[in-house]
Amino acid sequence: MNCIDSAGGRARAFRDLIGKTSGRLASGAAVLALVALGAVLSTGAAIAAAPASPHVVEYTIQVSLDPDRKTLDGTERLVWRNPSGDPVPELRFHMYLNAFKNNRTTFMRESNRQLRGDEAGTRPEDWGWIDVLSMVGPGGKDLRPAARFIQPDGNDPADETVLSVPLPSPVPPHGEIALDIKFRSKLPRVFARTGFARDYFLVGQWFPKIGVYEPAGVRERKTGGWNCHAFHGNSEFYADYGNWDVTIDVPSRFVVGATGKRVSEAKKGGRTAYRYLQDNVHDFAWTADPRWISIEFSFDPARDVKPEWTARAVEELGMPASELALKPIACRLLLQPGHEWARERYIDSTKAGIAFYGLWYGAYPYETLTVVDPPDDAVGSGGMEYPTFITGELANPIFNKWFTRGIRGIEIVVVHEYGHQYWYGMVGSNEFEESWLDEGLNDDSEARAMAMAYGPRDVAVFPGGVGVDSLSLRHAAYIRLPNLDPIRRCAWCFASGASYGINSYMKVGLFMAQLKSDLGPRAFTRAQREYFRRWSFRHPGTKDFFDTFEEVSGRDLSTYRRNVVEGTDRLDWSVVSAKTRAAERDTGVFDRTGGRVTLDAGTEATTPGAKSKKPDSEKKKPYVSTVLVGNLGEWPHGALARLVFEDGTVVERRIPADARWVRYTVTWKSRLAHAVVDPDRANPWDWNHLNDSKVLGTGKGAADTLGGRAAVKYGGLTAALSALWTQLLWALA
Amino acid sequence: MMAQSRNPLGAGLDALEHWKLIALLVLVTVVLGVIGASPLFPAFDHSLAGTLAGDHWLRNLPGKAAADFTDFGKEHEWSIEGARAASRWAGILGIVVQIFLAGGIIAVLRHGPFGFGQLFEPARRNFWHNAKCFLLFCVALGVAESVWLGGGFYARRKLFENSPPDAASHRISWWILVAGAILIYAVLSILYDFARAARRFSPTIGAWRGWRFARAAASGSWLAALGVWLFWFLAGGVLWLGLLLAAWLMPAVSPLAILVNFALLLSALAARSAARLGAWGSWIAFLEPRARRAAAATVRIRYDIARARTSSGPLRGPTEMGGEVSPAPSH
Repeated sequence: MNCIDSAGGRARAFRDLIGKTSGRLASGAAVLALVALGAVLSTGAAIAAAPASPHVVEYTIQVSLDPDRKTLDGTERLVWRNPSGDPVPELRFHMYLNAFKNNRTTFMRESNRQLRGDEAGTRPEDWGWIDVLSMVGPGGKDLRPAARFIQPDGNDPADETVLSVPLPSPVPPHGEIALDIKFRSKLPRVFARTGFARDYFLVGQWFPKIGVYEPAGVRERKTGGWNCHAFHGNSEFYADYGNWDVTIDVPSRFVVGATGKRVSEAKKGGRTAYRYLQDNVHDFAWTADPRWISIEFSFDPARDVKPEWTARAVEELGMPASELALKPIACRLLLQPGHEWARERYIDSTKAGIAFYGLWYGAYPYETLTVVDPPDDAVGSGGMEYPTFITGELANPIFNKWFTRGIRGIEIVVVHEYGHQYWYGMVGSNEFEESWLDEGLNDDSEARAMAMAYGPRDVAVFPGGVGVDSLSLRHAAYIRLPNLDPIRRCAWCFASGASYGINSYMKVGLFMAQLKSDLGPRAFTRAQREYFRRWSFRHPGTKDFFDTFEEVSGRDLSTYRRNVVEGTDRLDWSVVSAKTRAAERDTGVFDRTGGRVTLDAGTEATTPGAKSKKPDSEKKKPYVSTVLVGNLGEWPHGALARLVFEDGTVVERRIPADARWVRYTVTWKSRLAHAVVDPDRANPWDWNHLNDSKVLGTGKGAADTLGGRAAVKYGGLTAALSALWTQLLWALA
Repeated sequence: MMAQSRNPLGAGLDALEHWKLIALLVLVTVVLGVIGASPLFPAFDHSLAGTLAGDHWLRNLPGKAAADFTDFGKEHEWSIEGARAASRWAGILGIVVQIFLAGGIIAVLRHGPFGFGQLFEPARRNFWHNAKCFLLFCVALGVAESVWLGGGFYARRKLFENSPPDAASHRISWWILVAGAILIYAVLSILYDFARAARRFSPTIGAWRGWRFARAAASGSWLAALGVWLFWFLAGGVLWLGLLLAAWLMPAVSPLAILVNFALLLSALAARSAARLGAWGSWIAFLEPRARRAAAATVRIRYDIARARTSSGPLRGPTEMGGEVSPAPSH
């Protein structure tokens, strides 16, 4: 087998040369040239007008499912193009399914054999693995005998999730190698994204998948090298972009859904082979189940994008609506029997996600989207993202009762997983080392999409009007977490699974909300849109994120990176004390314009027996209020302080960023009613909102607060709940 | 006072005339509730009255109320734990008080008006009997439900593990298990109440015999007994839940609305108390025609065989050896 030096490879070499010598503008021009070149040279099956990605990989896979043994037999032709200027003497492959091979793998040991509350099975048929049967390289040589499993993270020696394949001769800089691989995969009983439950199959990370060779300069690398980590309990995935041509052979009774567009279907001997093509993606997943209810629907921008959404995007981005045009998408929902009630919710939330991400970041470039609704005994496969293919969750009929219908679990998951088409899908950050760049950014985007589509109480609304919004949910998670880890950390390096989850998702959601508050909506959304545009189909890192935001916003964000993302600084402005007292009248001897006077509590006493006279100025300002506000956290960041007096007067002052504390002293004719710092919650990063205020009394206007009444109401309610609890126990009495 | 109804349901409704007794039950519950919640009162005062969080909660402000709620939970988590612990103990005390009061209730119902003194004397007298009945009830309930539910869910998992989640077998088997668990509880609850009520008809009957009395009294009338049980379970439950729901759904910001809210919650407590009292009234009426037979079924006859010897003759008298004989229950 010869290396193929294709036009694509030459084009990439050209771009690499231009990129090194001419800076961003030339790279942009080169990318545009590649787009044109790619469009001319692409085969008939490629997606028209798709943005170019550096086609590092080309996968052509034929796979056959044995539903009884839960195995896949496959042949894979992989063309890998060296993206660097280094000769590469070995290839590294992710063998993700080996994470489920036994209880000694890194994944099983770190996760304690569970993921998101779902546990691994323990019967013999529940394990999963993948074997490379042969790997024929250049010259027809089988490379498999020389291949060996390695543990690049110093992890468990029994772990077999990274396969190193030494090559007889290195792949030259920007050269190519083609391999013909035969493999067999055994799917595990699903608990961690991929596997089976009865005749339901969700097939992800199922083939030998080549790792990412990062050239020097990518993600702050000083030298080129493989970035191919073991599969850890908390990590996800990282791969290069390319073309995919996958043929899936299953018994004809199965309904199949997959990444990409189905281009052919061939029946033979009770089985059907479905062929799918997809360009410009870095992964491929599929599903098969005889029970799927297949619902085709389309996203039509003219029908499905509400005018107020477009208006909001125009306003926030400061761009005309003509530049925010979206395109139709052919969508498919694979629904489980028994979940028919969730059909419209799946469809509506998919459309809302497509609209938001398209308007704010850029049109979804692919033709198709498949949304999968897992069965209730395979929820471990839910809430997952793959290119053009997402899995939902929470369609169990228990969520269709009158008291649970207001929980938008389906919508949150669909919008979130769709959002991953952007963060991780098109902006290919490294989920192993910088999970915040996809999960966290997407957490923020999802919250904003949900607020756009479902209003301020976007997470849940319960009977009685009690609601939960995304920001509050994130705040709740943030404050429960011991402050042990920064946001940026390799996925397996966090102190605990909870620390990984909250630091990767919710803390970043809060951080992004803080950034938006500080930069302003226009600067923030434009910066984020530029980050998406600039880093689509590339592998950005933390530095690339901040460089883009600083460039677009014109602000120095070094403390955000250093203290918040790479540090563990908190912000906690609080009203430390608030007092109000009658102003002390002048007492003693004073030299005034008219001469020396002796005052006793403001009353002039010049001669014995003389009538006392109060100075007019003393009558009008009888109260002195003192408020001390302080930042109990470590991050230097300002806030707004607001003092409200009983007569409704409001005094506001901006606290400078470098202040640790500030004392305000105000003399006013009215008593202080309450003092509050950050009254409008412009600091989502603030760790404790309960200490943001102190209430001394009530009054009119802005001073009309109901705290006292609240204490009575909720005290009574708590007593009632306790009483009701004892009445429940009467069932025993 | 109205003429006493002989019909159990009617008798139960008649019992509701004793509003002072219902008020006593409500008062006890309120006191226990306040005890359970008291560790949180300083926290409410400090954080709701002393900061803007109370204002945010009461007005249900989006974006602020929920975050303040979680901050409150974090800041005062030990007060919340204290309230939980206090509520647990208050709940146990509530059970003890119920056991105590039940001894008086079964003695005074359907005997015309009574004073609290007439209630507390039999309550005191019957307390240990009721406590022992309670222990027997707990053991029986624990064992029966464990076997039923534990075995049932295990069997369900094994039988249907390869069935899809929406298969009818899953739903039907689940409902069978739940219905069975409720039936077990209902049966044991009826026996428990009857065992305690036995003291009305046999003032010195013990706990074991009380349960035998209960079985004998229910024997042949299970359907009727379960019907009465179901009536008070549903009537009390629906009213209780309905009033709670009304209290939950009504926005209560103004002082008047808060008072109405409290009134609804008190009404829910009163509904439960009334249902409990009504059930006792029904049981007394149910047992009255059956008590004699049931009591007879628990009588144990001890006799010793006296050997009768004459100077010249052989043994006379029964040939059995001494022992205890329980007459067979009559049907």
